[in-house]
Amino acid sequence: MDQALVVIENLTVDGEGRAPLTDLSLRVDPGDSMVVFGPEGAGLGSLVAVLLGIDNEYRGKVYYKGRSIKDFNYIERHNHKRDIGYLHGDYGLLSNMSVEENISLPLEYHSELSADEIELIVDSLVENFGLGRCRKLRPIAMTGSEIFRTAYARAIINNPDLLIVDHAFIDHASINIIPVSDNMRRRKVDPNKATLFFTYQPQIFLDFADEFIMFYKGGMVFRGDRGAFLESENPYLRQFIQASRQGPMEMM
Amino acid sequence: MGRDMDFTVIPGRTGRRVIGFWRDVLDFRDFLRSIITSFQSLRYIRLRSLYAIVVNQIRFTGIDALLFVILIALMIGGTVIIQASTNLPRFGIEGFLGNILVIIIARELGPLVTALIVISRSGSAMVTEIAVQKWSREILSMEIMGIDTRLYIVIPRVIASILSITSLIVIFDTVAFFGGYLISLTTIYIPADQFLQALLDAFSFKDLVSALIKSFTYGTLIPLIACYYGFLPRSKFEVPVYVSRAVIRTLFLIFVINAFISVIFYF
Repeated sequence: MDQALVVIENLTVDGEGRAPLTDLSLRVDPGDSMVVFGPEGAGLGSLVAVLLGIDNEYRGKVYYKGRSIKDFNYIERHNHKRDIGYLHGDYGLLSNMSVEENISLPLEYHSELSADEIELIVDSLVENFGLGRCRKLRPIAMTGSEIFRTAYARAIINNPDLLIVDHAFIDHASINIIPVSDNMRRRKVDPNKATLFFTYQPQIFLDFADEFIMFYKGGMVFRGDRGAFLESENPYLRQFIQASRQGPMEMM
Repeated sequence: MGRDMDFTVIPGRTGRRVIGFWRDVLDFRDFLRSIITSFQSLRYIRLRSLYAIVVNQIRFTGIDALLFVILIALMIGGTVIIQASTNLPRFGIEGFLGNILVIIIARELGPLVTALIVISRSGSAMVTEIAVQKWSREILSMEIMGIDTRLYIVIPRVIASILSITSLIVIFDTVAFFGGYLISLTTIYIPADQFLQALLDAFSFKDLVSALIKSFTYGTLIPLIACYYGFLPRSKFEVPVYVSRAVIRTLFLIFVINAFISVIFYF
């Protein structure tokens, strides 16, 4: 029986108001930690939108846990999004809610847990992510790292099998986000969990990922493990890492 | 001509406005459809997550507006009672004081002024709040959590608005009648029992039904239009444009509906 979390077969997204993807195939199994990176317009955002079920205008097949995302009905589409942990770069905390309200929202909305049970889970996350100081505060009164830790806690509150980190995890002092880094490392060695990092700065994720995939103009131009990422002479990868004008990629 | 009319050939600013208005109507229809579709989610969500929003909206739309509504009701009630009680005797129809008050305050001014207060205060705030949430990607964030934002954002506001407007109309009418009576005592004396009896005699079941229908209609339309325009802005620069558009169009629609309901009930 196929245990893959995500199977993408010959995915093609036309570039009308979005970055195109061309004939992309990819498989994400439980236990995988992948960094997907590339310059602007490479198609990272388009792939995230397809994985989350936001964009259904594509050709090819995309399966999540064996089911075609395109075939989900109205309720299944919402449940699919609920099942995936998602953290995006803007964090998207609700500005009229406190830290604990933001973290508990997915459970309040979806779960059959009692209020006391939800409170216990939120207490645990607040403690684990060092949010005690601000648990009653709204985002406006919080520091950048507190907002980040709150958004991360909210993204994993349903203990998702697949976590997508979309252009987040940057611009923070490492010391302020230790609880998140620790959680990422635990996820990395958990054989049942997978994480996809979408980023312009793949080097940040060397500790958290096993596989690195580079896109350029909708196609995959590099794929390899940590060693390959660090040592490969792939011209696309070298140009990207060195932020050089010299190479096969054109400046947008 | 044997072919569909091409509306794009309608010339000038008026034509463009008509086309724009018609597109807005179609978009609003699609918005309403999406809300009806979202009712499917009711089977799966926990209603407790909506409860806090309903309570917050009632606090903002109803309770926070109370003082303002009471002050306006006192002034309108006092003015109408003074005008009616000093001018009706000139025409020999002072016996119709109660009828005049019920007609002017309970049937028309109460629901209309309350709606105007809610539109200018809460309607504009709703558009701004939702537009800012959309611009700051909070709504996207909710959608990605699997939250049905049409249901989660719109329905609690409609429920809260219906409850708030109904309550505010009852309070407005009560304050306008009895507070207005007390104010009017400073200029003219009307025996309290005579005033009360005149009111009771003038009230009918039809007035109650009409007020309830207006409460329900305004309570539904004001948040629906506010939410519709709140979801539209694509950048923060468009927020004031849509706030203004929402307020003006809701005001106009409320006046039209008020007239329509009055015609249906009393003509």
